[in-house]
Amino acid sequence: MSVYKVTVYPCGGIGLHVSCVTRLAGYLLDEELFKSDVEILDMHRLIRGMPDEIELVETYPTIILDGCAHQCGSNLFYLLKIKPAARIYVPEIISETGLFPGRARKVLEDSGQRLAREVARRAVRIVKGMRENPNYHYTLQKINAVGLTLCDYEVDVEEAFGYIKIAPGVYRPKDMNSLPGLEEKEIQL
Amino acid sequence: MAVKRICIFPCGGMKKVESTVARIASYIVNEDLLPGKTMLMCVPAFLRGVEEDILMVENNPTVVIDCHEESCGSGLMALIGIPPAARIYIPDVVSQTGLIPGRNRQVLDLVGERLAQEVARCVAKAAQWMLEDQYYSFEKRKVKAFNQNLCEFSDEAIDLLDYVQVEPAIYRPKSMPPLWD
Repeated sequence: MSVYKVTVYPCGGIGLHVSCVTRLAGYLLDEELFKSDVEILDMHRLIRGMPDEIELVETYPTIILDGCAHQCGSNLFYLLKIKPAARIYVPEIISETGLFPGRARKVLEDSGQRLAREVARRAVRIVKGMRENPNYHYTLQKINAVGLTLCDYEVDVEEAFGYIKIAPGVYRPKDMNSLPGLEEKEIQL
Repeated sequence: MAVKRICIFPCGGMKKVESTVARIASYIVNEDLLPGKTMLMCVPAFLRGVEEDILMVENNPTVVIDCHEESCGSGLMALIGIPPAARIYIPDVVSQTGLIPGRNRQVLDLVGERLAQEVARCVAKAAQWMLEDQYYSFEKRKVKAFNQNLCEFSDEAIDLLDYVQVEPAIYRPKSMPPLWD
């Protein structure tokens, strides 16, 4: 099926400053860069069982924004047995750009805001590729959230998903569709 | 046992402006009102199994901030078998003060910021009580991490918390130690 909408899942943390960066990047995508083509996943409503959030992750491809090395966003999808279409890994973007989350969580400092824009910019390329390339297909998935073991840090989510690196900071599970615009040279976005 | 630190669990959602209010209120308490005496529970890290996020909720009383009637924060606490020591319910704060969350999720409007200050005041009041009242006793509990079901909406678990109102916007489960009620 063609992609009508893309779900963006900012990691949803609170303690680390970088979680404010993923959150802002999500809002930029949802409110300024795409509006109705992109919807933010609210992980708290998802685990609470709100039907609209469940539909969002089952029906549309999701881009996870993992803020730190714990990779909590990817871990939740692993728990729910849903594969993300792509994953943006912020620590690599920090290394590459030299932008830092800063030291203010209530309102990000300039560097943190610029980092959020950079994260959003990379997501834009992925979203546009999925939306505009007729060859990109997404297959519906079903959450399986029964009988789970929570809080198990032993799980290696990178290995579990078989993430392959597409570009600095950009990954996808090896058995998900390739990302148009990033893996197919003929499409220039 | 005496309480040395308080875990704050703001609903942490993304969609509603109220969730930004809850998050900013938590930062106000954590950084400005009770620095060094509170910790913020990061739900994604908790579910991931990050040790400090598990220990903070097991070993310290938790103040949960529910931003909406969906009560996602209380729902998770009920699920993991750790009743919060207190719950701040933002819709009550809105009714009581007339302050509204505003319309801006990225950075709160002035009115949303005032609401966050008010929510923070409620959190700090409950937290300070637990920290300073010599008769307040807290019992450590273990997280129920096995054989759990997520994404199943039910009010049953929250009903089991059996919240009693301590004062407008501040609640506690009936089974948890009284605050000033």
